[in-house]
Amino acid sequence: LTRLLSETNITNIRQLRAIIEPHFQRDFLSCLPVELGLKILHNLNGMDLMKVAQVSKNWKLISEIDKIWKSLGNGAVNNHELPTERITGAWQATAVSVGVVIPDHIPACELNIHRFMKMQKYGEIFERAADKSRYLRSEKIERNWHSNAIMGSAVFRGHEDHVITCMQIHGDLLVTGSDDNTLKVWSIDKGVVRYTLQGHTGGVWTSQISQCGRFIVSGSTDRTVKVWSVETGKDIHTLQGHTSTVRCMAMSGSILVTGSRDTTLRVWNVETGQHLATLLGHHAAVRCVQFDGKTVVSGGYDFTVKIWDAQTGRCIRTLVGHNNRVYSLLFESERSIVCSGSLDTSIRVWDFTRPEGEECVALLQGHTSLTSGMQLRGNILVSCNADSHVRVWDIHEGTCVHMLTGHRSAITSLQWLGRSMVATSSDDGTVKLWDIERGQLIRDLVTLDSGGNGGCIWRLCSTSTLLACAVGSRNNTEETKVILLDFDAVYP
Amino acid sequence: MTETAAAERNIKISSSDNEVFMVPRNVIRLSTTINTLLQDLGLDEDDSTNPEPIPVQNVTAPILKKVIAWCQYHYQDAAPTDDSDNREKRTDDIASWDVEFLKVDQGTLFELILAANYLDIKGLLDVTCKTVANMIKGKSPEEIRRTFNIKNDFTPEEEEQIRKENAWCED
Repeated sequence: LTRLLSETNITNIRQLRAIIEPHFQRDFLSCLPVELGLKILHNLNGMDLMKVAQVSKNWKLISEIDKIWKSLGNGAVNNHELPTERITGAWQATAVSVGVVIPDHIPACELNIHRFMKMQKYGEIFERAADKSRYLRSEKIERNWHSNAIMGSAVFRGHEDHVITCMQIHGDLLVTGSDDNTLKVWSIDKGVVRYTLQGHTGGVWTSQISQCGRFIVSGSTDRTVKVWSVETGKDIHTLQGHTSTVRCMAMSGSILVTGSRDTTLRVWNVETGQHLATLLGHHAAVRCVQFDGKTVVSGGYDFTVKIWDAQTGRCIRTLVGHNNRVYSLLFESERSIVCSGSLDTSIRVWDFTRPEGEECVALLQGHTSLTSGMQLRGNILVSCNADSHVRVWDIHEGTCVHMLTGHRSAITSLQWLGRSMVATSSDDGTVKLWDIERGQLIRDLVTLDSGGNGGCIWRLCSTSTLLACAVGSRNNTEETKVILLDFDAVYP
Repeated sequence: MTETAAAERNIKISSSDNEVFMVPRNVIRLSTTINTLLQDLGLDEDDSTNPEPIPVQNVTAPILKKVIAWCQYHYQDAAPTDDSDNREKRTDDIASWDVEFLKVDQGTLFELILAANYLDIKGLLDVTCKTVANMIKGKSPEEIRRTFNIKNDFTPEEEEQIRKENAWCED
């Protein structure tokens, strides 16, 4: 054989090789037992699995077995609510109108076709391979946020020329509170207002929806806290006791903690309307509060952060270090981590289980004004600040990983979305989407023409498929409204 | 029986084509199938070599030889952890010795997967499956077909349909 090879020219050897080679090749997926084929495919990501499905009928069949997609890396497969239509009510129109620019919105003339397509929520792939379909949907939703054209938007108009001060989403409910003394309860998917909650005699500055979705709670400059029924839109309890504006609140189960300008916090049961405790100790207004059901964390204008036992009403620890008012808090119960943002421009990270005086584990410096919002995942903290910058920090290292610049005025709120995206709203009248892993702007989601002339986005709120932005102005240049963007997708 | 005795003791196994191999007890421990068999048969009580070789059906001598060589190199590794719930998609973590060891033709790789499965050698099964996955990764459907000599049995219509489905995410 060796002699044969040495006497044959290269062209013939090549031919020989073409004949022999297939004998060494194997169609692994078709010839191996299915569980071994699956074991091979388990090492591939979604993109590769899509390619595998296009190889042959056999490969397609094996690649669409549910098990593979269920355990696929991103974990997002079952995180989304069922697809919604969002085509009626305010969704019949679009938020793209005079004064509002949504840069990547599809043209109005194509909206009808798109709406029609959204009505079929389950496509062919779902019939054949449900988990692949789920994976594809979640992948599409991620891309809808990141780069795809925006396919649906709506404007919820209300609260006239007043300011929307607070906003929450719970399932299909959107609740907006305003300094016009009312709150409005909207059905997001139907695009209509369900109730206007009337009864406060002063502006509403803080609100919450209970985890069970049955109650809305609001705090007002009229010094009261009201508990409203979501079902009927009527107020069930008026909680009295605070002697000044109720400025902040946090809820766990049916237990509510409210913070007031009167320097106290109060603990209530919203089901019974009972007052359970008063937390005394701050020397100035309480500006922010967090609560996990057991421990209350509060930040005040007396420069301190206090840790309380909700049951006994006792102050467990006072965290001293800031040298100006504390405006924002983040509390991660499992790790006993508290992050506080202050007008002294710093963010402090605390572990309140450490010995007294040594609780501050990181001092994050770099911002030049007050921090309005923070979110934490693992060791990565994202903060937005009145200095118009977003910063990404590693709280373990105590370092700033990225500074994101682009907003031209104070940032009012932020939301972590998907794997590594953050949306921010600003006084400059824009909503921006950032890639915090790379430290880059992904795109502008909303731009108000009045931005820079008074038009601002007060805050934003989101679900995994929806963004709600509270729009208004301090000088009547922009109508008060909520702009909603839809990022949902059906099961293909 | 002491640990040292166990380490020195050899086990006789025979391939499907009746070739007999002498394998140290500690090396063949990596095969859960044979390990369990030895325990069940009470052969671990005795410190002599088993008189009759244990037949390994379905595995030919050349493949069994490779499998033993792999076990020989890996028998002192820490036991593989069960990472079925913790699936990080890494196939770039194959040790360089294994990469060299698995530079074989597809037929041999195929037989190795079957043998690792039959003998229940988790580490070898993982690394052989990863090797095949690496041959698929990043390739177009046509490149995958060429790599494994697979016939495209889709009609042009079916092919267009599935191509469309797979592009669904992109707007």
